[in-house]
Amino acid sequence: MSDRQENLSAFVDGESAQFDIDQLQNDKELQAKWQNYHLLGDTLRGDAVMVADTSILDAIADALDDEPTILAPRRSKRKTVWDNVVSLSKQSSQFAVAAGVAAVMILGVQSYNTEQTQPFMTAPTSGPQGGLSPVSLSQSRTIENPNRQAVVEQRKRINALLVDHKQQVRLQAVLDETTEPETVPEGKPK
Amino acid sequence: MGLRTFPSGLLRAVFVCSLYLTSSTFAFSAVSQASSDNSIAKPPAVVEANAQEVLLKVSHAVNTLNYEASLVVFRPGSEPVPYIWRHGILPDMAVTESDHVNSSPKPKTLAPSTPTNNTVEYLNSLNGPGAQVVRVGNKVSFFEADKPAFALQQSHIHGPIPHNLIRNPAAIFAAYDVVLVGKSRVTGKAALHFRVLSKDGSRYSYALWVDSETYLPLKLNTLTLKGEVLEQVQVTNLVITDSVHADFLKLEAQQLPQVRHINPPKEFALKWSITSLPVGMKEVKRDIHRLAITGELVEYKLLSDGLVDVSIYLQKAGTVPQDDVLIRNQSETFLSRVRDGLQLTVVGKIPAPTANKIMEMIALSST
Repeated sequence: MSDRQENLSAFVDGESAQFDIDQLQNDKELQAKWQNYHLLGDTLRGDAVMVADTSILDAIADALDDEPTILAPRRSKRKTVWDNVVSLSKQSSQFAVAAGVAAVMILGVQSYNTEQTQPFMTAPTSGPQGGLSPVSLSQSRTIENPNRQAVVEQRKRINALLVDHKQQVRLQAVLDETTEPETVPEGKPK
Repeated sequence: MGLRTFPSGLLRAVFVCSLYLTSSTFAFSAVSQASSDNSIAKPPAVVEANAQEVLLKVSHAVNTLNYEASLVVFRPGSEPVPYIWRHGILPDMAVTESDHVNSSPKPKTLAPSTPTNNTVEYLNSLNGPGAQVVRVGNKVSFFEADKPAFALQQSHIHGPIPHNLIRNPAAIFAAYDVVLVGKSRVTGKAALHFRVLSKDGSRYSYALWVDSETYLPLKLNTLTLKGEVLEQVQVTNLVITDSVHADFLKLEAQQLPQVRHINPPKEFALKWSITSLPVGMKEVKRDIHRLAITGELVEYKLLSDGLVDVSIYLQKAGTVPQDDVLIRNQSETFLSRVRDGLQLTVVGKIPAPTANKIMEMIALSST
């Protein structure tokens, strides 16, 4: 048994051509092994593996077989007058709800507006106070400046380090070479 | 229903999947779990040795074949960067001379006796202001748009694929495990698929595909710890020729810039140290130098595990107190922190948690 599995494993690995594929046809256990081996191989190689658990598929297939066929006819969709009346009443209730919502919204908008207008109205009347805003603006600018400068400086520094790292990596192999004696005569003929 | 479709899908899978090869350590351990009895074909150690052997074959191919590859580097969120990459072995001087009887002075430095010195390599970034790099033997010349040309003594061009991975894999075995995962098709060729994983899981991992015939690299993915692609190098076209590319024969040593000699730094005793490093990572350099852009003086250490290089900087902190800065620039992590009036910075292609760990291991001795 284990001998056959070993043969199969070797065959799946492409290491042996001595495997009778016909064996697979009749042997469920070998089929399962076959699938497992390939699944393992694919996963290890990082190929896109869609793991479809066949046992689940089988279970679903079995379940579908067991499912009784539905023979009862569907309910007909004939509409009665009574149905229409009900739906009308439903609609009217919906209208009522919508109207209610609209009313609430109007109220809300009104109250929102009144709140807004009060400071809005006072702003133009207090004319001289408006002079404050440019001052505060310039203040915020002075605070921002050193920050930005620091950011620029930091970026410059980061950039300098990254460039230096690249250079060091490039030069690293040079040092390896100069320590080797054979390179010395190569450079001299010039 | 499900049962009936299953075997037919299987038969289709026979043809598709027989192309694949699964032979990793994990595969076998996982298989043994799946099948309750231990039917392991090979001991894992053998598999790993094989992966290393194949990687050595890769380095042999990369170092000895004449080839031209077009490759594209993708990074999520930025433009793809296309390159052309050529490598060749210059024929002996006699052959060169018979080919170019009429051409002016012979490049005598081109064919020294040692085999590594008659290899030539060329890397050109195709978009934007061109940056061409030409290597003749151990001399690498840089032709960049905004700088005068210069040359350095180097055994390789620092290209999109980490050079130790494909040229000198022995240098990475201390820090990384190499696993042969399987086969797939890349750049229209049957390819061997490797995973390169750091031994302590603290660095990015890599997926490498190499041509199963010539062993030249075809694709390299750099993956984050979560398995997201951080960087992708894809060879789009690979041509292997018997003889070296004609452009290399036109090269003349006189046209190449003078080699800039850089004196190896003296032994510096810095007043700080890194108490512990990730597995396989070593300090390869330390010095004190000025940054090219700002002129600031920095104390510096370079760490390397063979595949990635990590820089550590120590400098006076600026006047403005700063919070930690953590940036990912392309695939490089940049972490900066102010401690005791000093700004410490860790830069390199490592995950942020690892950068933080290294940062925490920096011990400042009080003066």
